[in-house]
Amino acid sequence: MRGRARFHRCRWGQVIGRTIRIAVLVAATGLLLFPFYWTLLTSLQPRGAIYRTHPSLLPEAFRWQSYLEIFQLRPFDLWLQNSFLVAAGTTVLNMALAIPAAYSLARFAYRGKRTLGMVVLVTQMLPASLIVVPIYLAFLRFGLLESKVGVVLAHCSMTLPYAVWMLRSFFETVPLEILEAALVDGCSRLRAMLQISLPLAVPGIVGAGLYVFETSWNEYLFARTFISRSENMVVSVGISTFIGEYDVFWHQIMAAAVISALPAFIIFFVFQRFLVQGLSSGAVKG
Amino acid sequence: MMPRRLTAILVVLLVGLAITPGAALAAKTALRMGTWQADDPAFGPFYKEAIVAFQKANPNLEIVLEHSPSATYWDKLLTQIATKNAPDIMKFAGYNFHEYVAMNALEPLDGFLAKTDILRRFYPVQKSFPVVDGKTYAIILMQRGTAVYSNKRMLLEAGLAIPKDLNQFAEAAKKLTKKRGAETVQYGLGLRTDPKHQDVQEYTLLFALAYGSHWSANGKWVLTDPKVIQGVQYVKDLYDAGVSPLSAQPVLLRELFWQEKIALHIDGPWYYAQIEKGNPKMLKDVGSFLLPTAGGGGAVSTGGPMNLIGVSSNSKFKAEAWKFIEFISQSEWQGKFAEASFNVPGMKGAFSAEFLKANAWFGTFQEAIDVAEQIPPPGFETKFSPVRKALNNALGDIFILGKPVQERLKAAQSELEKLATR
Amino acid sequence: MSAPASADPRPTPPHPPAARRRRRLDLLPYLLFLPALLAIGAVLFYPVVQAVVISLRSYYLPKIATGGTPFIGLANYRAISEAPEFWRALLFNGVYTVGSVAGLYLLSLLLALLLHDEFRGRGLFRALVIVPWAVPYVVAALTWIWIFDIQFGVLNSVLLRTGAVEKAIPWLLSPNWAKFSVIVSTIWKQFPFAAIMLLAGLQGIPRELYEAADVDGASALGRFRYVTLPGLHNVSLLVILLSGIQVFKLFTVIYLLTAGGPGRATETLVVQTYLEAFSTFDMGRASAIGVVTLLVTLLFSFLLIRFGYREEVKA
Repeated sequence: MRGRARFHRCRWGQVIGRTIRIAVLVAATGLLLFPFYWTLLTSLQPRGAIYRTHPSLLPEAFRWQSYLEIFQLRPFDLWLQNSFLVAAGTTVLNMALAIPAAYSLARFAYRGKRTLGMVVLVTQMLPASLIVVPIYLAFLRFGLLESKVGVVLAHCSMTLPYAVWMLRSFFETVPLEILEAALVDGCSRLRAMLQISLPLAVPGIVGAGLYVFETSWNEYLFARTFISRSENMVVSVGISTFIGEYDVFWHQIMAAAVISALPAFIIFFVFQRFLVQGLSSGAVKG
Repeated sequence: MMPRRLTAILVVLLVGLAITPGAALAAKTALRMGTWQADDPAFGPFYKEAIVAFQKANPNLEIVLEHSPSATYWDKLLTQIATKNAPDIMKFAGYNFHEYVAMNALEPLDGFLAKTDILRRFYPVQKSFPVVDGKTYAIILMQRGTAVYSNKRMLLEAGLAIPKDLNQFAEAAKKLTKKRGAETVQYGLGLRTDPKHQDVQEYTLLFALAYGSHWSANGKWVLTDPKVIQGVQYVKDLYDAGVSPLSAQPVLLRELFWQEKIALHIDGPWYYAQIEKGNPKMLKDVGSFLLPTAGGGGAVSTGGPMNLIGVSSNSKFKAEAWKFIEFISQSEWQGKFAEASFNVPGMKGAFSAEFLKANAWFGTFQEAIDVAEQIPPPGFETKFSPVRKALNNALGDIFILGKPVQERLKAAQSELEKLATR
Repeated sequence: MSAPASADPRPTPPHPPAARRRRRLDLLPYLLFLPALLAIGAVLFYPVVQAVVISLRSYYLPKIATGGTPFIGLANYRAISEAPEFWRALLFNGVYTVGSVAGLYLLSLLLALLLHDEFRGRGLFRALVIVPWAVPYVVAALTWIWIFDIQFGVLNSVLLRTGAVEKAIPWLLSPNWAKFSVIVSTIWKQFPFAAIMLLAGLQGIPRELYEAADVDGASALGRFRYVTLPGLHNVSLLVILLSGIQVFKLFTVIYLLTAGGPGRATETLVVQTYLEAFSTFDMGRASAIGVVTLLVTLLFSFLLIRFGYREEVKA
């Protein structure tokens, strides 16, 4: 009797719980995406419809020309390419450096470990406006201005500390017994890291990688300081060129923003399936 | 084997030596030019045309445009100046020009000017504004004066004539404001009041000038002068009367005027092109007049030299950079600049008769140049940026937060006096 | 009941207790850390040191040609400590950071929980969560300014039409509302990062723990309190730490939305640093404010780590 009652309770509980959950999710997502919807709407409305005391919530006409114009008026395709190369380059370089560093912090005990961890974080605590000029000077001396390599290096320096700390936290969730078992079996420490810890920390790596990609894609300050020529710009900087001295080209800006948001969205959509449970649990029992 | 290798190396070296001078001669010198106007629909095409023509006339020179949007251009320029990597040819705004001179960012041009007479037809202000301690640091590219754009149809409907003094102006603004219930469907006058936007102090200055005073006089701050207080109070009263959209961004004011939701809008000549683009049908209703002095009988305007062009002091190609400046100072190019951008250039008489006939509204803006006062407070040009911030904050507190005019201006005065001692 | 692995800063090294090994200095962890340290240091070491150095000098651009940059000790620090705007900015910076981080954490926790379980279309919703982050800062700011506009903004329009308020709210025009608006915009822009982290963290909680809780007869709330929250403890700490550091020095959102106004109400230390450097051209004072920012952030981080990290016991 007890078992059956519990079964019923479970099923009803599940259905109601699930419905409520999805309803809340849809409402929350809708509310959260509203500003983006506003961006999208503005890119499609005729200009006169934008400034009104009671703006309409639905589009009145579809002015999709702006999406073409941004490619005609500016080297937008080059910008997308540059952004992608910079963001991808930063992510790859970042992961290559951050994974060993994070593992070192997570799974070893050594002198100065805490200090090293704090030191990398401290580098991020200064306001960016103070850092820009010295870095510009250094890059000038080393010929790194006007090049994607310079921007990638700068982006790496601003995302590495966060990536290291994020990955460290995920490496720490990998159960110790698995590692110890492997080491007892004669596995070297490096191999243990690469073949055991890494696969189990995949959600963390995906999360950190996405963070780095996204931060680099939208970064504005360094990108605009180091690059001056229009064809070398990245999207985040290029979009700002639609803000004129006296006039703001709303349609083009919003259209450019919608297109700029797409790559991150697509990449995340593809990679989010790695954010799943089950990779670490169950491994201990086996 | 050794001798053969040695011979090969020697041959390569000799050939290299032979080619290099030739290559050096054939290589182009690249001049970097910094601007925030490369994508501007008015200025952009002019620069591109000028650059192409210049490069044709000087085949060994190449001009590379380094463009930043105006909001971020100055930060970048400062970074470049601080690291001695500023572009060879630099453009400046009239606001902060003197600040950059104080930083030794610009090269004096007197040596180059002595060898040419291109400036003979320039406005007299070329001999005073860009001259510091007897040295000329830049050539004036553009001047402007602000005036009032009016919607003639709305004025006609309200039975109003062009205001001849500030009382009539205020009356007109109030009469032209129409409400429907709680909502305003037509605004009388666009006022800039949000300190987030740099030009609040500039457009309020217009009214202080109408009462007879700039923010400073004889090297001293005069914010507590009754004329200044009256000017600011005038704007505040109009704002409180609801003639203007609340703390609107300048971009919004410009939109609303050509959407025919504002009757009067103060701006410079560049705005005409926006009306043309936004709502060409209303162009026939567009009129312009200068803001009258408080008691009538005169006119005021703000602006003066707004764009200047100079050579950076860290440039390795100063003479070549000057060549470009000289190039666009010729009458032909001054005329092109003027007519393409609807702005008064450094040279007098740049507009052709046909142009002036086709654009009757422009006459007001030409007159404005003669009465336009410079925007940086006289005597304090080298500290304009922090001054502007302090003034904007004070005015924002007055208009938006409703702080009393006299008190707040007094506080601003002591703040500015402290700034001078830095 | 087994729990997630230890997060103690000094866990037992996972190598066999061979006495021989312990005597030699173990270089491997240092070597693993080195490349990252070099990459960061190459770019940031000099600027950070220089910021401290310059803060002790008089570095006023218009006077450099004539006066140079003399050493003046703590004069810059004294000057800023005497300015009431500095303390106001420090206070608001704190309020802004705490408000934004708390807001974004709670929002992210809710979303992570909702997106954790399987359901059809989960992938799409997860990807949608990333959108605020994916929109460029400049565009986000422009959009929010518009939404918040007192007369033409959609927010006031909806509130007035539904009768929720009688008078239009001055979102960006009144000091207190502006503080609120700035925090809301920041939460909107920054939460996706926390949501991803918490989502990834949720995946790390072994299913057996939930099953064990079910066996013990725990309700949904009980499961949340005794399994989920403790399981998320260290990830939460990380999220709060990293978000806190970022939000404390976040410049773009505030500067684009209010430029520190109205009446300097939303000015934070970072905004002041920028204005001192790029408007007043006083790099010395700007660096001093920057160093203070660094010290405050360091203190907060240190306290958070010291008292926050909990060692989780393995049963």
